[in-house]
Order: sequence, then C-alpha cells, then structure tokens
Amino acid sequence: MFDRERCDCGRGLPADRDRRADVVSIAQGIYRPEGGTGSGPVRWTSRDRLPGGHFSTGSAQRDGRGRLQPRDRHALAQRVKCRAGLAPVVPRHVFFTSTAGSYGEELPANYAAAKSGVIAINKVLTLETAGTAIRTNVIAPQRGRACWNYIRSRPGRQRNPRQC
Amino acid sequence: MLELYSEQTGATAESTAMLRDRMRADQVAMLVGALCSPRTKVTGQVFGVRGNEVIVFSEPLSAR
Repeated sequence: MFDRERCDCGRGLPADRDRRADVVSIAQGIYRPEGGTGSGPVRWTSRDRLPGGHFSTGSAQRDGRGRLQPRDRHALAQRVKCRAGLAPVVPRHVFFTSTAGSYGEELPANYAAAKSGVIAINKVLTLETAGTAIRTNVIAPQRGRACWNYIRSRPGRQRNPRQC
Repeated sequence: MLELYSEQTGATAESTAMLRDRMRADQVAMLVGALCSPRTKVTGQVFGVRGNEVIVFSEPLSAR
C-alpha cells in the first residue's frame, strides 16, 4: 500500500510497484485493505481519502464476492488516479457543525459558540479561496426537534411529510 | 453521543430511536460525497441534513 509518510496529505506519489498493484486490484473490482478478508463493510483507513478530499470516509459496502459497489469502486479509482498523478487534485473542505451553532438549541453555550466558529471559519476560507478550485462547505446534521416551519420550500417541491 | 444526549435531556427510548433514524451516517455521507465531487461548484454554504432532507441554511433572502 501507500507510504503513510509521503501520502498523508493526499498529494504524495506512491512507489511504482504499489501503485501498479493497487490499480490492478481496482480494475478487477476487488479491494482488500490491510487485514480485511471476506465479506462485510470495508473500513477505509485515514490515509484512504476520497478524490481530492481532505477527509476520510467511513466505510464502503462489499457484496458476498468481495466486490465493491460501483460508486465506491469509482471513488476508489479516482483516489488512486489522484495519488498517481493521473488526475488533478481537486481540494475540498467539508466542515461539520451543529444546529446549535447555526440558529441555537437547548445545549450548552460553549458548545454553540464552538460550532458557530466553524461556520465563521468556512466564511473566511470561502473569501480567501475565491477564484480558485477550492470548495469549502459546512454540514450541520439535524436531530429534528426544533420547529422547522419557517423553512421555505422550493417552488414546485413539497417537503417530506415525515419531517417536522 | 446520542446516549449522552439522552441522559442529559431525559429523552425516552422512543425519541432516541427517532434521533438515530434521522441522523444516520449514510444520509450525511450522500451530501459529503456530492460536495467532494470534482464537478461541484458549490462553496461557502451551510447545509443541514435531517433524514433524507437537505436544507441550505446560508441562503440570504431579502425580507423587504
């Protein structure tokens, strides 16, 4: 596999033999990480990053024959191409915050302040990286307890009746 | 984290199960994958994910 010291930032080039072996396994549609055998979810390590991303993903699903799902196989192939210099590295920043930082919830104030700082960092980074290929966004997973009636629906689209 | 939240707020097991259903990792991962796509042009936005619903928080709207 790849050299952790050289590839931790996602821009290092792996050794030729390792790169070739990984590409071959991708072409066959089979990916077995270190220590992973048999079926079940594949746990990607922190050095296995999505194409151009600066974060690691959680897990990828395999079927009983050890084959990755097409979407995961494509993402993995793109990652290998980026590592090998065959595809441009497209930087992406995805921050995670909370609704406590966006509009406030019944949670400690220091938690809300820290989460609001994440949104502020995203705004500053957006201005600093304007005009480049860098994309910065924030995701706030919801727990769905607050009232969301004030949220407007897009014209022509109906909100999910299960929500709120 | 959900268990800690339930202990602090006294939430019932039913409401905790509802939270777990609405905050599944695969639902958030769909949006993460879209934002990290090489073809995405979205930047500087704040998204909310609740279940299968995606909301844009940071869309300014002129009120008057």
